[in-house]
Amino acid sequence: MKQIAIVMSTVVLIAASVACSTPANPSATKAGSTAAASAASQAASEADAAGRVVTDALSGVSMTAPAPLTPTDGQAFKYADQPLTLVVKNATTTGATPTYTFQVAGDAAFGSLVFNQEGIAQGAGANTSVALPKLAGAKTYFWRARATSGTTVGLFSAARSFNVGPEVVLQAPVLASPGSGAAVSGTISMVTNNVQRSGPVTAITYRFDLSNTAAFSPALASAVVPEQSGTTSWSPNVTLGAGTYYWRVQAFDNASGVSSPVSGVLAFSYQPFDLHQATIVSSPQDFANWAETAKITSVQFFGDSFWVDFDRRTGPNRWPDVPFGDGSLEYTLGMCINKAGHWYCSAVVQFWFERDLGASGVPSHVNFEWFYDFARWGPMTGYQPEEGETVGLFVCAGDCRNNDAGDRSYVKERSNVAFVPWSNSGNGFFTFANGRRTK
Amino acid sequence: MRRVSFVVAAMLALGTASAARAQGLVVGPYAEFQSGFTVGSTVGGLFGGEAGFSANTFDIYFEGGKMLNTKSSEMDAAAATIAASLGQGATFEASQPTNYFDIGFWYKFPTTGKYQPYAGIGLGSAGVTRETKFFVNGSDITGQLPSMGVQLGGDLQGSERGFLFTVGGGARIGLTGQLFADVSYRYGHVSISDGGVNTNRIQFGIGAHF
Repeated sequence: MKQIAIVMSTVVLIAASVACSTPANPSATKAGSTAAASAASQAASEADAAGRVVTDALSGVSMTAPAPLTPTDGQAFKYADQPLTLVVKNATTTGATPTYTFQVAGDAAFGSLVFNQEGIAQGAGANTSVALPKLAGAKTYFWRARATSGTTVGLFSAARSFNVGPEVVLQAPVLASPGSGAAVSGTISMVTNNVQRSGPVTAITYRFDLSNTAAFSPALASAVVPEQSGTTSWSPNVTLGAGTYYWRVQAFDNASGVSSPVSGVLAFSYQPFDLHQATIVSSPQDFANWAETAKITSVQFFGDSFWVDFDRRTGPNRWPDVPFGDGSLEYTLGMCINKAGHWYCSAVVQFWFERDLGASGVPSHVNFEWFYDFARWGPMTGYQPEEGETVGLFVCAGDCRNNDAGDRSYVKERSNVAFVPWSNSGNGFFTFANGRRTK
Repeated sequence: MRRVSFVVAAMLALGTASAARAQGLVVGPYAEFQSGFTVGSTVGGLFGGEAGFSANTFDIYFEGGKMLNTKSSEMDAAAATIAASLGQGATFEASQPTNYFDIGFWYKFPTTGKYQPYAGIGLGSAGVTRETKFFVNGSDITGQLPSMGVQLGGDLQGSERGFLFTVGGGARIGLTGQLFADVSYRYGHVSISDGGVNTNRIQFGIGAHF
């Protein structure tokens, strides 16, 4: 037995000596392995704590790279589409459930990472995703992902690119009229200054909201209007009662998907205009009852005149002329002004057929070219509308000036009263369709 | 190496001394060629050789050889997982050849017949290599896997050398002259980093005493 013990001990010594001193068996990593795998292999090639000689650790697991799903390669995003989400099909692994690393870089070599997040848990379904922070615009990015199972780091997926469009910024619209606290009658026209903008804006639209509450709940009317030159206006197609109303505007660039902040909210008071309630001054007293057979079609202000046109001024259906001195008159241009909360209307300027529309007079001279005689115009005498003040304009068939009886009109017809913001400075062009302001 | 040579010399001296009292079938140096197969999740061939010195009641031996495939069911499962992820009806071939050598001791059971049963243990070293190939429509695509985003880990490829422990037994049968036949079973465990590889060798040998 002693011999056996000696022999056994000797055998153990020899075997242990040989096993522990055997040089590493060179085992080349197979072609195609990654640098990471090589590094892992090198690390594993060193003798481990148990004294084993490892040439290529067999403890690593096999896995596939996650497959990029979205964005698709080369996909273009609007800046406003952000934040973007990267989605990959989960990796397949022979080991533990992997975690994921997502990288986004500004170059295809991934030398300038703009996003690098590791340890993202695998999604519950077949895919895993990560939301990106907002990226700079007007730039192409490259992205990829890889899985890590245990200590084994997988291959990166094939890189994909996507593009983030330039950033478009729209400032909040600045509302023009009606201004805060303004008194409005007739057709309401809300006008906003076109927004300040930066970036490649294409076509801007404006959403107007009108409500009788400051919270815009409920909204009485809303509309999206394409941007117009300089300012953009909208006339709501609703019938309003007397009261306070609120309006606001928000701008949109549909191409980039960018919206502006909502404008400030302005309040105005609306007083419905009723010709029957107005005081007719030095014109037919039953004027309100005349048939409304014509519509004002445009009002244009100049420095030396303002032109008021209507749809029965010319053409075969024009109003008939009435005798006037040696000639004739077709119609009389009139104005309604709101003084101390009450409406006064008077037809003043006589027009014969095809008379120059500029004969209406200088806008800033109304006080002494229109209402210059107290005996005739009484409360309207010397009245000069202020800049931006809402004024009604109308025409009546025949000669209505200084004619309370209204007996110098064959047809006793009139137009609607079109309301416009007065312009002493001669700026403003307003058009109407079927009595409603379109510009 | 000098230390190893010294130990081997000492062992041979002990064996020679024992031979003087030999009661077994044959005493003295011997060598044999071995072939057979391994059994486990798959059956694989093997070949190898053994040389040693027979003393009266024991042998001191040195053996080495190669087991052609000692893969486990886990290796097959891992390969199947990767093949499935490749789609296109991908198939695979997985193998785990293992080179080994060890030095050991056989105790020879007392006998009077022509059969000499023995049992013993050995210690040594083994190199385990894992090789997996993938095919699509019969074409080997293994080399294209990295470009397909597939990374084979140590569970499917690579090699590692570890400590070998073996235990087993068998019987030798005297043939004509100096020749003998050997039938044996040897269990082995290779200690490598994923928990080790177990092998079951069933061997048939033919050898000669000198």
